[in-house]
Amino acid sequence: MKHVPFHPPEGFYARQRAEVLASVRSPRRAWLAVAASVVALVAAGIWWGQETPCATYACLLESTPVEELPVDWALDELSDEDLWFDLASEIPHEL
Amino acid sequence: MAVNQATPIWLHDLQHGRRKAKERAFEAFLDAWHARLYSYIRRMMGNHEDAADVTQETLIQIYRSAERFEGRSAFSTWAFSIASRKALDALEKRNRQRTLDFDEAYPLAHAALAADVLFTGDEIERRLHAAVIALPPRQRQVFTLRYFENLPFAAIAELTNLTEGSLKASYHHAVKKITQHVTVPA
Repeated sequence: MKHVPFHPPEGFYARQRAEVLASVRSPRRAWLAVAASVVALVAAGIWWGQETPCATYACLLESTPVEELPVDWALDELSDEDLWFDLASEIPHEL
Repeated sequence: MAVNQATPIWLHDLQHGRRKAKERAFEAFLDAWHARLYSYIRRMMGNHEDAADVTQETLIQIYRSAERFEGRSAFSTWAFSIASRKALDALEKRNRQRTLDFDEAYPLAHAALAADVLFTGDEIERRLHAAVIALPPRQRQVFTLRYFENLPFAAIAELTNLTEGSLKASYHHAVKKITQHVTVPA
């Protein structure tokens, strides 16, 4: 190799070396993160499966994030009485 | 893969080693090749910023595709072929709008090198490198690999998929253009 009449900024090789090494190692970290997520999901599924299913809308409201509420299911499966009783119980004192 | 004198000792682990061994081999590869690949790419790209990006992509690509190196060519030929492809792709993206011809590009390249604090060469070297940067990318690749990296035409033919005859013609044209600028006052 002939004489090189230019040089990179000071510390360039060390910085780039660190970045490249981090980059080639990161797929492993990404896989570990995915694997951890899968394990967490499976664990959550097992835990969820062991829960007693909700029989009232109030129970569902309590145990389910708002955006995941199975509104259609509740309307189909629960009687008007169950629905209105539990819903009413959520807002009794402010009326 | 046939092992010969030119086969670096870390190459086997880089290709077939388990994770830790492969990472150690890659560090040994970086010790041997980082500066050399940067210099080649720097000559191809003409400035540090672009060269830094392309070098990074090249090193990562070499790590990821090391297993596919079959040993039919020298490791240097294979490494330079990856660097060349990355550099040519980057040059194509950069020059998409307009490609200057040699006489337009040379004074711009010379002025850029004169202003480049990372360029430490004298006036002759500045003219030489400005002329190299002003060459069309493919000709620049051939000239750089032959003149600066001392690769034989056979190896350059292998990594460019061109015949030795056309490479020699391309190199001869490049030398002719460069000589005019290096020997005549700018």
